[in-house]
Amino acid sequence: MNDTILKINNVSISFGGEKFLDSISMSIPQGRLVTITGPSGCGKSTLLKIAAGLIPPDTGTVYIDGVDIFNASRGSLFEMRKEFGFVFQDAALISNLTVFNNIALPLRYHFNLKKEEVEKRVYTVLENFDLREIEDQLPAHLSMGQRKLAGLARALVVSPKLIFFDEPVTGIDAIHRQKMIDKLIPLRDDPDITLIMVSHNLDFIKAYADHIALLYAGKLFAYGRRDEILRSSDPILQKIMSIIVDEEALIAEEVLGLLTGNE
Amino acid sequence: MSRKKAFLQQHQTIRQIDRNSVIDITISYIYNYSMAGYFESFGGWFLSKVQSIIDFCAYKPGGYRINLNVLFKQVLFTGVDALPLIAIVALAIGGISIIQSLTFLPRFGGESFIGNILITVIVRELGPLLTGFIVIGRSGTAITTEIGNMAVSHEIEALESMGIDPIRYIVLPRIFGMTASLVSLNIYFDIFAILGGFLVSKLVLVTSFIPFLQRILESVVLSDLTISLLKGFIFGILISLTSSYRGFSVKTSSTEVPQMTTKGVVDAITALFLADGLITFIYYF
Repeated sequence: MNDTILKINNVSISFGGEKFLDSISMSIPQGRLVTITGPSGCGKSTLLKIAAGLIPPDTGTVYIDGVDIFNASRGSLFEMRKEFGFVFQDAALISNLTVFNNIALPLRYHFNLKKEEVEKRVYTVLENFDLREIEDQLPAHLSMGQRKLAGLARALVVSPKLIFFDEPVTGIDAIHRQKMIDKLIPLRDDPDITLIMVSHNLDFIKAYADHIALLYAGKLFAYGRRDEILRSSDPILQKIMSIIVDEEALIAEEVLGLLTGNE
Repeated sequence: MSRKKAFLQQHQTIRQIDRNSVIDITISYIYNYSMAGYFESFGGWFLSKVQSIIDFCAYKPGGYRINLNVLFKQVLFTGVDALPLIAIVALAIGGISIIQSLTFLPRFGGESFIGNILITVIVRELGPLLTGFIVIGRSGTAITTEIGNMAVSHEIEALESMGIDPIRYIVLPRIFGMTASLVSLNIYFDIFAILGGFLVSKLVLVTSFIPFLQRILESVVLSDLTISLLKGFIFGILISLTSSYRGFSVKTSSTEVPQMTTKGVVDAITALFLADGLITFIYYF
């Protein structure tokens, strides 16, 4: 259960001559929910995409199940990814496919299933996520909450053992946020599924994360079990946490200011 | 207020990175659009496409069904939907060619060369070129815009994250669909251009269709048809490659999409003229 499923070794990446991520190393244990958090712009989403093999780092390696994904052949990397799920911040549903076809896409592409079997699996997921009513809708007609749920449904339809999430509970209404959390809890409790999640939402992290990786200015400032991080007396760590809280408050303050006209 | 100040200070570094990114992007932009940069990046992209064509031929359960679906949609859009426009342009060009020919042919009793002129002007050159331009305007721009928008909305990344090769899923069906459409549209253009020529000839010279067609058929040689179809085939590959390449060149911003679409059109037109000149030179000299 504590076997390492994903190992990041000394990963660095630069944009515009500036180091955006600097020598990040961490091991993700199997069957856990690991959250990557930190202030805005610290490189959380970039690290997540590097971990999933979507962005190649300038230096460093990433191993998934012992395979060096950036030195693996293009074909074998695509083969590996059929056992992963990735839920994007903006859902990234294929815009010219309906919700049904978006969810069916990885099944149709990777597995030689009969039409009835594809429909059965997709309808099971759609019903589980209360998405039957919007199965024929295109993504442009959906709310962000519905899109994110559909994105999670698409990731889960292939029964992945490793799922990457980019801010799954941010930017959606309270009802969909709760629905999303309700779907995440059973995944977190499944010992065969590993979740790696970028999140800015400290309430969510405090309640559900097994491990926390704290990034600051492109560096991995702290990584460990949730309680170790949250109960740490390190003043710098507490300051970083307070910046994350402040950002949430500031965003809320600015939104309120815009609404009331008191900027 | 102090919280706001602290927040802004903390983001100062990020703003600096953004400024440097703009400079970096500008330098890479200039490099990419210099000829050396263009051929280097296009060359690398082309090699990856060759690998994907090899992959495409490999067995992939389920994958073919989706690719064929995308291919049929491309044929429908590029080929079938373009039929009315191609017919109008071809009728007009056929008619205009005959009118212009009749302004000088009768001076030396050369009305009988009408067939040769139609074959030389339409089948060998104007047919493939004009069909190519229409396809660039209708479908090439659509491909660049579609792929560019997919890149901006992270759909390309989403495909990769699902283990679906975007080259295989998006590009290859478009290459096959566009090439098949262009070859077919080329034949269709030739037929309508000859029909347009006939209609004008009938008005001016009071010709009946059978003798007119006979003169055309006497003028045509197999090499004319071969060269016409070969041009359609090569133009189809060139247009789909340049349009797709420019679509994938879009990185983060939706403002890049129209810029790349324009670049795609310029690239495709340039490629068509170069290829046309080269093929004509090799074949007829």
